[in-house]
Amino acid sequence: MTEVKQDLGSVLSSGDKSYVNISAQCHDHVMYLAEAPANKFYTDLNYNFELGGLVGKYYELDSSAGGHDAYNIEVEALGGKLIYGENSMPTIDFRQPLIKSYEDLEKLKNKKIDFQNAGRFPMILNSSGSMVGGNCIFCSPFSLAVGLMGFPKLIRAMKKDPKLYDGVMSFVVDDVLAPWIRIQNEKMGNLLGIGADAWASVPNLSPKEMMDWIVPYNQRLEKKCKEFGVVTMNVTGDYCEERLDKFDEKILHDSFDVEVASVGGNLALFLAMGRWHEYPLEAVRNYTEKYRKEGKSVSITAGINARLLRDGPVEKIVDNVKRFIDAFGRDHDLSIFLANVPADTPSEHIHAAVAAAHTYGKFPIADNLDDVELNIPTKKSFQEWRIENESIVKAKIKKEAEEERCGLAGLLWQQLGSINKNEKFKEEYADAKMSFLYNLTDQRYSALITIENGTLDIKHIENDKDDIKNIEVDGSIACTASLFFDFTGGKISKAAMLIKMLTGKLKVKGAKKMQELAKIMAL
Amino acid sequence: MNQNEILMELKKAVLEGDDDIAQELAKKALEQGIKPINIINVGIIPGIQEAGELWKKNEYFHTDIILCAEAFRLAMEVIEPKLEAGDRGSSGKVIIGTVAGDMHNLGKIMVNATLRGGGFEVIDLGEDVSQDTFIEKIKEFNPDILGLGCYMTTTMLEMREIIKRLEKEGLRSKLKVMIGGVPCTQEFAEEINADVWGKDAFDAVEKAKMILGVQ
Repeated sequence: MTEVKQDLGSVLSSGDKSYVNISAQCHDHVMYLAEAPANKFYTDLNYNFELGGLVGKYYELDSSAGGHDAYNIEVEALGGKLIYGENSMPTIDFRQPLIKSYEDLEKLKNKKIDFQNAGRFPMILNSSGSMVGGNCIFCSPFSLAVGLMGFPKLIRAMKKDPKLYDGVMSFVVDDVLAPWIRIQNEKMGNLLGIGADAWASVPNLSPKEMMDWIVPYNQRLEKKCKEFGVVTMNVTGDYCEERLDKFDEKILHDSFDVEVASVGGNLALFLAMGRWHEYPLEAVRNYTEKYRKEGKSVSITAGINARLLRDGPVEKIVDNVKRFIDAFGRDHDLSIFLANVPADTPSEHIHAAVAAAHTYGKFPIADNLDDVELNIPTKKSFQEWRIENESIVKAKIKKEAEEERCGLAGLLWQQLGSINKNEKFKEEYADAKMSFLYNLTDQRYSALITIENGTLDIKHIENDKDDIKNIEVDGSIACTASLFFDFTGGKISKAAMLIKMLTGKLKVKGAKKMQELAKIMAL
Repeated sequence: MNQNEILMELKKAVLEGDDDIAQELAKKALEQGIKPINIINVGIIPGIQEAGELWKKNEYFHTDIILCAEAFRLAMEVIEPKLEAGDRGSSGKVIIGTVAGDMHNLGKIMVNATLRGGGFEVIDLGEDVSQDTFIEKIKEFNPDILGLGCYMTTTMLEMREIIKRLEKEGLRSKLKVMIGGVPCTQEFAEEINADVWGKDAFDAVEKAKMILGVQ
């Protein structure tokens, strides 16, 4: 069966697969561009999502451009003080950390956390899954511990009081994050969990420190969440060295090891906040070489440096996108990521990056990108564009939200939806009519895939509804989410799979037809 | 331990971020009658300077520097009150603070230590500092440098407003402005009429000396 991708690149980019996708982490920019009041933007996810969708369409990004302050949600819900600026993202008041001592930790451990109502938990839970990209969003263990103690005190505990450090990290994983992710999964059906972990990066910590002191807790969280069917990935280990003269390939490779270990062992590299327009990209290729030789696909989410994007010039931004595509576009699963877009970034800089990604990134990637002509379209200002397009785009976003696919259906749609633009698929399956059911038995939703008249559609079905038992399909699989991800991700042997089938833990019907589906997925 | 051994141990404690030991050794050095300025120049500052060298060689990371800065702070806490007036801040006077709406202080903690290690007198206004507070304190202390820190791309825009306010109040020409923090660049510094951008804590002290012409 074709792998259901669980890497960050796939999660962040869900657009047209005929070119390298480009996405953006740009909530501050959205707020600034749309002149939205910060206190509404960061407390009303519907409003945030609507503006993010609007700005995403304006720039023709391959995903929405919204987002919230993912580092603050859990701390605030635990009682931490946040500063709400008039024009800025909320920020934790590090002057008043929740944990200063063992006593504070004990107090927090004894506090009953109301995961339904505390802080802005309801804002997340009452949103539709699509507002958070169909993912359970959380602050990763280490960054959350920083939010609770402050970086200096947490580091002091790590180095001089490991018992306190372990106490805080264990509390964060066992008592806060695992139950919080579980509630998100139960309420929205989301199957992937994405953890933000900017504090855990080079040069804040050495790769060894991250591997010894952070990765074990990421993996503990991963194991706990897997029990209820959610795959968690932590964006830990980003290489952000500021001084080019300190660039070190060995440290980079070690930080990649941390990244891979923090995303369930998937070969998914995230080049986010560093000076990637100046670092040698060959160093990344050197790391991925052994995997490529083994025929393994390596996903790279390549970040355009935030300050380059803001300061420009356009030519340098375009060159950087082109450079990424030239280095990774042909033999890696590449997506471009505009990392933490500064609030006042000129729009023409973003338009140029998008045009470059969609032009140079057109598959198959040209042998010589210098032969590819790039035309950067002159666009209206956002304000002018908004007057003309807001009502149409909002209606479209609303329709998309109404057609939201929850749980596995959403995940599959992100990866398969664009097949409807594939001419080969349309031609080969013009007269086909078939349907498949992926029944995730321990989840709220299952996924129904239909192919009819050259069009593929995926819908979610609630598992507790009676009609799921009566659905007639050509092929089906029934198992827990955890088992599903294990065998689609190739993490379970054929023999083990057979045992699961014999013991009834994995039920497959219409195996031949299922092979047909695998063929379609591979197109 | 003789006096020399105490100073060497103090340097080691600062370098290795052993804050309690550094503070104890600073007290011991005073008890042994070592001149406060010598304790700083031989026992404390070399510790943080060597940390800077290890940072440049990728042997130290922020985890090490932050502990080193704390050991430095605690040792200085013991020694500074005993300094003679002429021994303080020979490189210049700096007011630093994180701008309004921003609570991040990691970079500032490290810059505070490296600047003091570089011979600057540092007045730290803390985090989430309003324009009014910056102006009031500048008028009160007449610093040579104003250091502004931020971590977010929205709060970095506040730096521009502070500099405009300095101009309006007639204070801009009387001091240098240095900015720092994750979203900043030298281009941004120039754009908002700041004098210089410090890319990290050790770069900040070099730049501070450069703009004041201190050797």
